[in-house]
Amino acid sequence: MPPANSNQAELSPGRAAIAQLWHENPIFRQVLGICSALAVTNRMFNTLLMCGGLIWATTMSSLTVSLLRNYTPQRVRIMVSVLIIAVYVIVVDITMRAFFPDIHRDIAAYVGLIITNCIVLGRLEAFASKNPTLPSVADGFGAGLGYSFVLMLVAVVRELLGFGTLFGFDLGGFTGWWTGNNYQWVIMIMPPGAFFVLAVVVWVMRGYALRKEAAAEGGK
Amino acid sequence: MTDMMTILAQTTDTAEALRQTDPSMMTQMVLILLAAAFTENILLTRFLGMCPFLAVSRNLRSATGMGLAVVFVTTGTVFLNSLLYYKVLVPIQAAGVPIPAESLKLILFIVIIAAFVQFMEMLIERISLKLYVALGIFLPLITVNCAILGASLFMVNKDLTNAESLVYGFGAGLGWCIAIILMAGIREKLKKAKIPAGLEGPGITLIITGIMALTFIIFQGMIQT
Amino acid sequence: MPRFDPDRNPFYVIVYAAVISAAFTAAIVALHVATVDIVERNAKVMEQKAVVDVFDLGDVEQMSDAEIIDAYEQRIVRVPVDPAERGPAPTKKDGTGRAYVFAFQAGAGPDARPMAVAIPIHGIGFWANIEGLLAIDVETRKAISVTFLSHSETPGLGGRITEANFRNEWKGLDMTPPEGDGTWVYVGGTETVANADRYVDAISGATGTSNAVGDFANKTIPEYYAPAMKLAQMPRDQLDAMAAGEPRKPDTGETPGPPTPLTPEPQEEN
Repeated sequence: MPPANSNQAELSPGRAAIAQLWHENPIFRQVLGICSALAVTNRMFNTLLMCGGLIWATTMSSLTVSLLRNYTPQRVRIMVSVLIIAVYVIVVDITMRAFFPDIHRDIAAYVGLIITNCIVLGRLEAFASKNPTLPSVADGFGAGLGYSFVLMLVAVVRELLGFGTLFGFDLGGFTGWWTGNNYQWVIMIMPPGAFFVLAVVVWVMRGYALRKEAAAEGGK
Repeated sequence: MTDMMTILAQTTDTAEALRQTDPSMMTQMVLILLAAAFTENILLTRFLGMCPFLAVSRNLRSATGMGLAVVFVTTGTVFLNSLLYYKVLVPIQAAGVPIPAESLKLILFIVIIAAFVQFMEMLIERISLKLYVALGIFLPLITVNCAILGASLFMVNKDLTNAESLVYGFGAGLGWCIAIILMAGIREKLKKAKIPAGLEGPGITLIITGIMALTFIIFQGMIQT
Repeated sequence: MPRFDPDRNPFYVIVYAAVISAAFTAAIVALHVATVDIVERNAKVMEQKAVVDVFDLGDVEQMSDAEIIDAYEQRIVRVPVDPAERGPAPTKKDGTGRAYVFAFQAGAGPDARPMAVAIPIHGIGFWANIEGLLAIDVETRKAISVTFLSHSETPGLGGRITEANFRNEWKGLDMTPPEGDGTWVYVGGTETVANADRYVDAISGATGTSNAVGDFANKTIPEYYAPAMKLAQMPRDQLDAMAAGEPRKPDTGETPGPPTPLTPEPQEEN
């Protein structure tokens, strides 16, 4: 389980959201939500859609779980949480199917991925089930945003190196120079590529955090 | 034209014959099991169940515990979901009730998984407190293990019968269990290695997983079911 | 807010879980019912668009919905395939699956005969079901194009089956019944030289999806090929009659209508 936040009660909504962006960032602090990160980060546009769906799911389910928190028995807490997540995700699915059928066809596969994204349940368990509504919503939103931030970083690298494009725009010369005409750097497109890029992102960020910590301690 | 027709007739006949003779049940089951555990390893070829895989593979003991719990839950829930999907949800829709089975099956599956895990938790608590303490921390992680929901969804996609889904669920869980035990073994050895501070923990695990996944790609398509 | 311990009372726990499940499920069903008409209309337009596209009747991205529907209704007949001719039913246990052939006419007169037919190719991909159509020129027996109506492949990876690069690979493939091992189309692999006119280049990085598409194409093409070519010999008015004989209500069970409603087909239970 994701580590429970200390001093949750004192967190203001703004702080709850900011904590999720950096100090408690789900990916490089807790390494959660990897499955969906792997699948979609080879194109920035797909990643953006995925992130939107995830932000919606974490925010709305945080709201609902927080509202119900005093009535939900501990025994069925997780069951109720996953049910709520699934419902919000399916709402997105059905709405898209009705109003944006073309996009729906290409990204329908995301739906299942969001439901089982550990970040959503992780935040519900660690925060929303114990805290008032407003901070919970902020926490959920922040977790989604923090996740999106790392995912977009990975996506930039993978799309650029894999396809030689950014948001689908061909960077002409770059493609030719990097991978030759119409060839892709396949390992960046395939899921294992995400592992490697993610590892480097985690490395850089942790290294930076560690250095900052060391500097802070040395300064004392 | 007539040539073409005879060839066609032959091909459809063979296909028909193959489907009807039902090449011994046992062979089929073994194939499903092997495919689920190895060639279509849910973790290393489908990349499902990554979070608990990274979180719990630090040492062999907890990895084995988690792996066995996943085998148990996957076997149970895939079978249960198979029963409920084909005996309840599909007949209800067939009767003309306007329900979106496609969407509802997601809710059904995830709720059954959560309930199953919860029930197991209570049961283990009653039977053995020691086991409960050992497994307790894994239980919430199992609910959101995408591999378990994934196995149930594959069960529908693969059009498996109830009996086949029991075998498939076991195989999928077994594959996940094998993968996490392999990983834990590697990570135990890694404790002796010198790794840059920032890369320790999740970073290096991600890289190893990437390499393991690349090796598992060679299994692809070795078994056709 | 009232503070009480909900865990004390097992009855409350059960009732709570049941009420929550029922309420949320009801919400989903309500949303489904509210949008089902739009979804079905979308699905119909999308299918017609795909069919017009697969017969290469124009650039569907540039055409308006009205033009697409017009092109479709003028020149295309959707004919259900007799299960007896199709061989083993492709329908799945939960009732999904397709059983029809589209025929494209050269002219609109009652005697006009199809120039091309589109047959369904479908099966399980790397993740879930993929449904596609393959258009074949009746005269030359060459593939005109392929299209994929629905899939759940990884976006950006296997999902690229819907992109022009992969679809163009299918254009002009030899669609006469194959000799030898009976492979109609090779997707990826090492058959480039020996069977260039049956070879489709795989999607790089998505070997799983590419193999799956090859597998199910080789399984479903022979199931529909003969019935489709038989239909291609019939005049328009006869085809229209056959199309009209198709049960309109999706729940009558004979022919699963495309693509949203999971129409039940009485199948042997598992």
